[in-house]
Amino acid sequence: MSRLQFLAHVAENKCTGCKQCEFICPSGAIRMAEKRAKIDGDRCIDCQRCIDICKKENAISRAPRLSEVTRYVDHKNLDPEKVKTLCEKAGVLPDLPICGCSRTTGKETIAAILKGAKTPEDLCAMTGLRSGCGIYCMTKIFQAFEACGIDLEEPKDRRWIKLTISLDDLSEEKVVQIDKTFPQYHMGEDWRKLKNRAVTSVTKGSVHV
Amino acid sequence: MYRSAINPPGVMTSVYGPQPKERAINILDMVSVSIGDLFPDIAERIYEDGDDPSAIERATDQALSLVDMGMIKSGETVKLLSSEHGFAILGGQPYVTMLKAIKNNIQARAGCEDVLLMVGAYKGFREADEVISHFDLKRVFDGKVYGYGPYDKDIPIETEIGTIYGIKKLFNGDWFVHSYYDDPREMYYHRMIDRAFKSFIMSYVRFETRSVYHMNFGNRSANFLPRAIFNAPSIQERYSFSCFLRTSPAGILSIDADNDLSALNERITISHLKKYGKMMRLFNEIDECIALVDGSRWGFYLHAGGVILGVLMNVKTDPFDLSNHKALGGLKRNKKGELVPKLINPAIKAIVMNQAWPGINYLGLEDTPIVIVGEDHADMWKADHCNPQIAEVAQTATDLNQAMDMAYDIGMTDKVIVFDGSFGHVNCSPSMARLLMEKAPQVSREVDEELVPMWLEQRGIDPQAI
Repeated sequence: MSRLQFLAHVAENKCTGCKQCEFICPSGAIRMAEKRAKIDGDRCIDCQRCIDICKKENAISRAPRLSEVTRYVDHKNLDPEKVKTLCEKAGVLPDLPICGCSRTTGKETIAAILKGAKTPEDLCAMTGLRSGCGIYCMTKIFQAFEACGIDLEEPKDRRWIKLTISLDDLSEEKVVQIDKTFPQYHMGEDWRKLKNRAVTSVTKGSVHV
Repeated sequence: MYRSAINPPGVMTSVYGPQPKERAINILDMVSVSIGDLFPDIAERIYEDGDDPSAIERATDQALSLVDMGMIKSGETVKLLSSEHGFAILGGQPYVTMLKAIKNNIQARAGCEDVLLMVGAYKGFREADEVISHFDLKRVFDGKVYGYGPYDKDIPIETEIGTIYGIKKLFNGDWFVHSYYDDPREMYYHRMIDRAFKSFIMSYVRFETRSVYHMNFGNRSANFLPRAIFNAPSIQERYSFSCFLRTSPAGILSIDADNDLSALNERITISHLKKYGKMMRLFNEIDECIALVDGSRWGFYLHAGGVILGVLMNVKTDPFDLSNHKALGGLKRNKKGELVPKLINPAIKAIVMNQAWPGINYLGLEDTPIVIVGEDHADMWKADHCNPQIAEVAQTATDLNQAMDMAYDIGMTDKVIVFDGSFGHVNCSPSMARLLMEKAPQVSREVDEELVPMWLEQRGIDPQAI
């Protein structure tokens, strides 16, 4: 969940249409029109990355919104078992934030996809994911789409690359080999803990933990 | 009686931080405890803040004299890969001096003129420009200096556990030099397993790869990833040698260089377990304190006695003990019912931010009282979506004295530790100085006699052999 009081604003007289801001925007809020950047306020999550990257022209700044908006997707009207199952499949815990910055939980992430997010940009615009550092949640975003059966097509400009490699992907043979050569990583112990987990979540009352 | 507080390294002006203001030690009645007073056996160093950097240059020349550069030919391109935090260690001058000396050595010995410095950034698109300007690197490197960051164009790297993505512009020259530093910084992530390799999974790779390191492996097993990347054929065929700014809590310890990164890594591991192990365990003995943050760049990474605030925040467990499957503190529910990282080190009763950059998530801070000095500074934190909880809970003070009064009232302690970028000593209140001095002898014995042998054995190093 993100509370937003500001959004990006483009000074059209300064914008050269270089498209760098469009490339870096995590929520797909910037489109080029008549060789100028246009901000979609309904998608902007105030991450300020466009302001930062526009370092030659300084054409983008923060402007106050008319009123604060919250980016949050409610999961309560969805089947909790389905959300829980998809969280398990994605390798996230329903109540655990997949992002330390926006603190968007696993169940909110899944809910946003079930409610229409088709791309990481949609997901970020709906939940505020990547409004902070924008770095560490990426692989969980990809895993959530995969769990929901959406095969993401990587953008041609490589603004993101679908990388989901994890401990879970390693074969037992590989883990044994690494353990033998480099016991200090405790690879086998971590791997077995992951493989032997009974479930990734349990129900406490109405809440999946 | 303790020494007066010592001036910390200077503050760099930046768009990412507040306007530099008067340093805390010039306003408050603080003292200084030297690392030599705390632990006489780890006081060795070749450089501390304010020294003549020529000692670094000489040490680099000497270290590189033992390195094979025969693979580098005249007419080829060599890229010196630097990482962002080096430019903040003791104000950055030691790292810059080492980088310059590496370039000079390559040019003199290999006859290779095309030596490019690659300046790493955490995530900001202006970070590298600011560093280049602050240290006049364009002049120093004859214009051959370039910034890079996690969003730059990718290059696939085929590792033994699959394809990951690095930064193309780092690995498209004929050769690269791993021009790094060993400041342990986030001990709770790398666990002192292969510290020397870590930039191969952070600085040198794309943001998706960094995400995999933090999210998809265990706290110990994740540290296999940088080694896997380093060992990838496409990386090995361009790797020439490594040159490190070696640190200890006392300051710059030496310059160390080697073609064999594993050998260098083992030397760092042994040194760090012995030296930083003592400071880490000493921080563990702090029963109550106010952490005062006062420097440039991200406050989470500011040093006191060579150890960052992040370590004090997470020092409840022993990050060097590899029998702990994770060094970070787990999760709990907050008042709103959200699952959040557990309370940071409960000894921290309050945090006062005199000056620091926002922009990186401070895990677990939501229950810790925070006072921010200055409205303009507070506005930067409130605009920071990396830390929405700080905007929710932080109070603002007009000046540092008011902030400290508020923190004393909240924390009910007068023990203050200042994170201002210092190595060689800890700037702190007299009460904190007393506590540190009182606890140090016992910590020293425990580390030497019990912990270091265990830590070494856990890393496959025979304690008897060193």
